[in-house]
Amino acid sequence: MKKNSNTLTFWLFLIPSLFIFINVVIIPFILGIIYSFTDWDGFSFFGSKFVAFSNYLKVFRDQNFLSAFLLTFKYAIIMVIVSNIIGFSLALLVTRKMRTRNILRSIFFMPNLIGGLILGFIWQFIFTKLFVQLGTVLHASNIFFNWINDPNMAFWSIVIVSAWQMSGYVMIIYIAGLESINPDIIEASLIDGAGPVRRLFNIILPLTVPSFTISLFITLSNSFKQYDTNLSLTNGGPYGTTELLTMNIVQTAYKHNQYAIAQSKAVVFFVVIMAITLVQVYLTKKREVEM
Amino acid sequence: MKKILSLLISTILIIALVTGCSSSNNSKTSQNGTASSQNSKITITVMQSKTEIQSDLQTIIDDYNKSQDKVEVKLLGTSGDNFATVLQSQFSASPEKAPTIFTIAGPDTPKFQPYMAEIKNSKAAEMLADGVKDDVTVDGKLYGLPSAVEGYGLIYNKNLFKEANIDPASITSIDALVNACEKLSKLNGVVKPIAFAKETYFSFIHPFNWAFAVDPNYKTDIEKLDKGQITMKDIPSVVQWIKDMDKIKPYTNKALDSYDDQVAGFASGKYAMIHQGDWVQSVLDQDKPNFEYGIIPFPTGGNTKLAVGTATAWRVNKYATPEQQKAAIEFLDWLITSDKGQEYSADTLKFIPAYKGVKAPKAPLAAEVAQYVDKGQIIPWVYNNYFPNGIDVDGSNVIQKYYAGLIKNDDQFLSELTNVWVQDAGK
Amino acid sequence: MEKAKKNMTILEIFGWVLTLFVIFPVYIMIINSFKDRKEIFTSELSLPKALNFTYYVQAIQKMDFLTALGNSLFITVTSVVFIIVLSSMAAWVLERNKTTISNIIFYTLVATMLIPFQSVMIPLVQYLSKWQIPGTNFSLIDTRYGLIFMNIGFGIGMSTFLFHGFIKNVPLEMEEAATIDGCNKFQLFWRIVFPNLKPIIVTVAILNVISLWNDYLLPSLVLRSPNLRTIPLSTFFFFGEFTIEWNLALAGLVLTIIPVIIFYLFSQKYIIKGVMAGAIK
Repeated sequence: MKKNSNTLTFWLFLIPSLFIFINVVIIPFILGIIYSFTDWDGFSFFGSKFVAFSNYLKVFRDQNFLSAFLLTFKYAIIMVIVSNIIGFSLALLVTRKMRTRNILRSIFFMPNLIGGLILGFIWQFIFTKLFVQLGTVLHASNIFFNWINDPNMAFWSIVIVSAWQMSGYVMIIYIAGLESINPDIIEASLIDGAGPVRRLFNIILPLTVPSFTISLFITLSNSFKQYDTNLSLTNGGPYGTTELLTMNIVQTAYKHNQYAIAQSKAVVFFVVIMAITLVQVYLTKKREVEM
Repeated sequence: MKKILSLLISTILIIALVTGCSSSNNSKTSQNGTASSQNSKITITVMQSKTEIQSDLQTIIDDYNKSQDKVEVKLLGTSGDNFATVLQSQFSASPEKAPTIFTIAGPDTPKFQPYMAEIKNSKAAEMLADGVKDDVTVDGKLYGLPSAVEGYGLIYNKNLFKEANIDPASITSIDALVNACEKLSKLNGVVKPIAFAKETYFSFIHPFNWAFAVDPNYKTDIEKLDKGQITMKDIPSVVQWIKDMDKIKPYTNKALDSYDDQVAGFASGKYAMIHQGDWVQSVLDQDKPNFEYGIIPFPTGGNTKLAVGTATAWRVNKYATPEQQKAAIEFLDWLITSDKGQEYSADTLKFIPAYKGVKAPKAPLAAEVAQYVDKGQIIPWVYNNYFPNGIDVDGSNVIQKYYAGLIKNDDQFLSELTNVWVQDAGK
Repeated sequence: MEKAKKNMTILEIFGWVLTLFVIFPVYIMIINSFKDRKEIFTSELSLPKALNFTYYVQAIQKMDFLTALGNSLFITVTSVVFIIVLSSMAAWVLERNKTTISNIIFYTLVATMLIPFQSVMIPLVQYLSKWQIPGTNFSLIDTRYGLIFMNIGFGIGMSTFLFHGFIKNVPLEMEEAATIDGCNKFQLFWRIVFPNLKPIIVTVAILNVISLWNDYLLPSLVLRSPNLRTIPLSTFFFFGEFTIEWNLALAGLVLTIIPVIIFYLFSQKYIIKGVMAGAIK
């Protein structure tokens, strides 16, 4: 009897979400997978021919796709580390009892509100003009030069701009985690005479593992899907060296008009990333349970 | 207390749901012809890509709607960067609900070909200038009415040319251009004589277009190139273009400036010439240059003609009702050929006419381009119909490498261009 | 105690030094919104010659700012309220009933966060435009409720994931006690669980507001009528075919982000209040 009512609640609580989610995300995605096995032209699916795996074969032979894949991995790993360290530190800072903490929080969070072409405008100015001027003034033109025109530094400019945005984003999640720690526990540790380092590692970090699970996954998935900053800052340049995966997929579809191949790329991308990240979520979730 | 809270939330939810539906329904009066069938007016919708003219066009359409009572024209929202994507999503979902009139030109055109109606019984079509007819004709049938033509070349600073004692009319060969660059670079304040912008169209498509536009056999050459029967090396005008680029490269900004910076640099006298088209007018006006300027052809292989083509063209949706299609063509005829429409097109929208005997705008660059058109001193925008999709990105990667000094010699340049071309053409 | 106060001041100063890195680009954005084009491209970094609000006035007029603000507010608020209610409910039952099926559902929700939106957008519009009820005006395309519906669909994955991670902070004993008091599941959730989720509710709200408020791509595909435009859509006037009217676009963006910052400041007060209320209990 109790079991039945539980099952009923379970579904009653889930059905509204699932209904919308399935119709908005799952079905279009499945359609996308179906399209990837055809010669779909980006318009009406009616009339497309089944081509089995030939799109996928093309994907694996596409040198640009493979190098974009590798670059995206490098980018994602760096981003996960950098933005979580900065984001968590910021959250630690602004959850202390400071008078101006709310203003500080708002400021750190502000970069998230600047997107698209404006973001490119501002940062291109910094990297292409301000840096050149700084280089002349400081006689340090080996550090400060036009980063956007250098393949290596253009990549790092994307990292910097994304970290500038993403750190404030995960800070918000860490704040929620830190704010929900029972203050009594901290109080008790103070009475025990725990130093700040021990307090961080023995009390705060274990209690914020859920926030870490979430933030790691969100930074990972957002980095893998990175498009806006890539587009507005370097647009893949110089000479295609900073083209990340999503940009590669978008260009395959909308520049080269190879919609079905682009769908196959998205599917390959999804499967690989899903395998990696679900392992990550599974591992950290397991840690949460053990805690 | 908590009961009240949950009650409150659920009330808000219900209100949001209800008002959400009702208010959207109110505002969504008629999106399509069918919705306003209570009166006998035909509704047609227009979606166009030039955000700059959107509000002026609205004024013009309001005027048209007032001038007659059979047709109601509705201007839909536009979006700058992803216009083609938005349009595509509409056609892929339900073509009969997509805009009755839409604009598209250039490499995206073939995608939309299945959705374009043939233009018949149009006054404007009969007045179409010969040079641009090609741009909107497929298999001998007319599939669009160009809204305007645009021309590009080297826009030059007349004051600086005078100061350096250069006659713009004398620049009829690359050597003359190099000579001029030599003189210009000695002037005070001139950082580089020529500037290209780094956007894919400006750094690659437009400059590279010259290589084919001056080739009288470009159609067959491109056909063979697509099939891999010849390489770029076999096309003399392309080889010539590369040699010419080698000569002027030291005098350029190496296409490192954004479009905005390039034009601002020209306005401030940093660059004596920019490789651009008449579309810079509105930007230049805001940059307020204190000199006069004009436009000359890029003299690759001794070329003396301006590259002029259809910037964009009005298309009629094949899946609209026959009544809507007819109304659409009537509206376009009015816009292009009627006295009032001509006035609007030239003075408000500043369109350089693609039609014979139609009023031209007065802005300096547009007027010069119109003169070249009048004299027939024009060569086509080959890329509009003959460049493979995606070549803008891939080709600009090659030319960026070239400017960065990563391409050793002309042979490598030619073979890299051939590679990306064949790869993009052969899908 | 004295020492702790001093430390706090040092930390606070350190925090403000850090903000310089964050603010500098924002500073560039704001000062350039007061300049004309020529001034922007000759002296990006210097303060504007005059503090004229012409571009703000122009931007407000061109964007039809009030209409757009109304649309943005309505769409964002409604979407976020639905996302919070639906995904907190889903997360709660998924977290409290660990079965194979709940795991599958949870991990599917999480996994779909990895789908690049660009790869589903055309099938999405194709599929949802087929949703029609004969004889009515019902359509998910070109209506605000249609966009809200899609916003909810795309927001639910991440939000459920966030709630899921925090729901275990709600002590199970509280739920059990309430059940003994005769609460049914629905009452249990709304009276006991939901109020205890305040900090994370605020967080979910902020993260969703950020992404929905500035979203361009999805609204541009869904909304067609000019009177439905959201703020990001209405800035298209400034983004031309070849160039951008930077001063207007920058002014437009400054206007766009002010409501979000105000919202954020308010929400932060709420987070802290929520925690303190919990602590007093």
